[in-house]
Amino acid sequence: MKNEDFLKKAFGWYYSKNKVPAPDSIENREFGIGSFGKKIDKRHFAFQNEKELNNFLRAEIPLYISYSCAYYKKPDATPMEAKGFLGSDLIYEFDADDFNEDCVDKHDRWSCKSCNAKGQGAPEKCPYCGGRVELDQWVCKNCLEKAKQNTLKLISWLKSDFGIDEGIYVNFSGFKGYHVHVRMHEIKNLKQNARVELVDYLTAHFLDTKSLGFNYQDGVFYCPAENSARGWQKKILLAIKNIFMSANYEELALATGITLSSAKRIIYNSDLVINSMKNGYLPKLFHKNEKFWNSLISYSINKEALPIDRQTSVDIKKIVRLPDSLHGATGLKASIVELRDIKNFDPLKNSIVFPEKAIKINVKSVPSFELNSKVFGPYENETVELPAYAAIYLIARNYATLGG
Amino acid sequence: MFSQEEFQFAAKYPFSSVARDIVKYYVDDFSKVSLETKDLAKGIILDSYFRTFLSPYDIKVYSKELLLDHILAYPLAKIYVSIIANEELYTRFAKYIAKRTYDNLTNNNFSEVFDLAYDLNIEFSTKNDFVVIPLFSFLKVDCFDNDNSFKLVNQRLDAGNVYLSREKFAKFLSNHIFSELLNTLPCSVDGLPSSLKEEANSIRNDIFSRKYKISFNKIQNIYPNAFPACYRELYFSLLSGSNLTHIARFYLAVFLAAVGMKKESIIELFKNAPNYNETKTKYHVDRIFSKKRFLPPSCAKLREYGLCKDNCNVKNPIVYYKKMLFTDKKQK
Ligand SMILES: [Zn+2]
Ligand SMILES: [Zn+2]
Repeated sequence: MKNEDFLKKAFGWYYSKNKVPAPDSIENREFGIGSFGKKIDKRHFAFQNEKELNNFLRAEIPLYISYSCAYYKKPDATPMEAKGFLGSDLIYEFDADDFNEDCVDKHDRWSCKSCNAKGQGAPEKCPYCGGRVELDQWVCKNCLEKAKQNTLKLISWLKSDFGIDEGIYVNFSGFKGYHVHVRMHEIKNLKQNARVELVDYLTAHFLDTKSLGFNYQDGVFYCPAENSARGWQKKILLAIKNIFMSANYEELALATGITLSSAKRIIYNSDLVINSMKNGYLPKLFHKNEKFWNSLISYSINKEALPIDRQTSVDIKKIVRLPDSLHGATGLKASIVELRDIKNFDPLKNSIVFPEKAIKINVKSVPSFELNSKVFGPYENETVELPAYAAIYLIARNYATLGG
Repeated sequence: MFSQEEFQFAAKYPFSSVARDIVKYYVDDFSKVSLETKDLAKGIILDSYFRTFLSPYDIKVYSKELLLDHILAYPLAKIYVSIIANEELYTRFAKYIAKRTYDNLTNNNFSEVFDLAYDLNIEFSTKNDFVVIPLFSFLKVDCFDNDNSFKLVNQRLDAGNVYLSREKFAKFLSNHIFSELLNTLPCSVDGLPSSLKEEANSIRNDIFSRKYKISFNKIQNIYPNAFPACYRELYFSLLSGSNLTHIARFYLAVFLAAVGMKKESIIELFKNAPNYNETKTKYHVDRIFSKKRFLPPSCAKLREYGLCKDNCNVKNPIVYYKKMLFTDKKQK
């Protein structure tokens, strides 16, 4: 049986036994579906209700299904302009790819089409010949945990900064990260440029420290007085404070470029730093006062900023994975996660929908990976028997074929 | 009907809803407004196109009739601008009105920011020294494009509220006015009387033939807003009907003569004084225009007479006026 047919059979089994909940205002959403190796194949589908949607899933068994963050009068009309745009949710995506974690070097691999070189990690181009590289990307607990931390940070900023504490929905993407949907009246009607403002805030794009009151003048480094600091003023001050309070001199040296021994000497000034912040300035700790604080401020901004893709987050016409549908490149469920459950949510366990029953497959070359708290592999062109969910994972990722 | 305060407010902020109500009440055909209104409208357009900021907009007159001219000049200018139909003019016109708004708010020490915000339906409250705007109201106002200082990332944002200083709030309002105005240009000009179209075309010629140059000998209008502060003060208090001392009146007349105001106009102006005396006035004005040339005194000199309240430090008032008049005061 071909990989695609096998996956369809498996997905069909799942959809026949499970109902995917309709997204809010389903009758106003555009849907798109994808096939093996192609996330979006066809667009402009529309469903009146949950039943229609699930009937469709059972009959067509798409390997991917996405829905529009926008609401339309006629979601199935073409071209786009004929749909009658009514508004749009906000959707922020956190992808493990974006974090450049150390573990990328561990589990990602690359190969060069031009010179046939191979290696660990995910370089942008071949380190030997500069040619285009083919990436072989994997996710592990670590990178997914990092994506989760950013998701939680976003949720907390939505409340602390934007004042939004309702209409926030989170789901696992089904592969590498998390999606955060924000659905409320004020958001629905936001213009594109307002959406840009929101994402620029989250990512600290165009942040201007002078505008925020960080200003070196006549030998004094002024900052917003701590008790009246708000927004990024507060985040920057807090980040600086934390470095001193935790006496993390290595981080201080890394952030400012001073030597470790200088950092060790300076780090014990946390009381002075905290008191000065209360009074609206940063104390002179190093002879290059201006440069020292400026570096520490930029470092803090980079550290605090959320890694959200600016382009996709403001695209009001995009379609995203339908929460609780299956991901065609992993066979994992894009599980909806209740806010209170996020901390304990384990995507590589809680999103598994296929059974333990063993399936024989022929595996190409794969590094070791973890699913359902079990470690599989590494494998090197061998035939193995794996639990259905792990076999489907490798087949969906196109690293294996059904064994015979 | 409308109070004195409303008239004054509307004259300063002619895009406000009060101003719109006044316009609705007094005018149904713009081709029939007074000549003064037409002149003022033309002045606004030329000022905005040449970025001179010279027409009197810090309006210190009190007669409702004069105020009405100022109020009507704005919608009329919008009509002219829409007929002229030039993108560059749209932008400059909107910028000019926005700048005028900001200056007016600043000149009054921001005491009118709240009235204006209220009039414009902008949601806000105050907390300590800050003006607090709900995030989504802040985002509705388009004012971030040109200037990063209004980007959300550079605001004091907390729990869904943006905290602005009063001064920044004034800037916020003026930016708002800029984008709102730009969005409404051009307004519909269908079915307007042909006389308005002819007037607009003549303004267009003034602008694009670039023959329009301000020079002292040809000058019809004077531009009180380009005066040094102390002379401006004297001029406007006379206009508003205050009695000036003899010396104040004399120096003001000297200054006005020096910047090209005609003898007859100066005499007309002095008629505003409650204790106006025709014979005396004519005598002095004649003396000023006679061969013997008087020079308007510096601010320091005026201060000796208690006539300069600001420390404006202008040494030569005429040079100052010329500079203000001919420099293309580009906004940063
Ligand atoms: Zn290569
Ligand atoms: Zn990893």
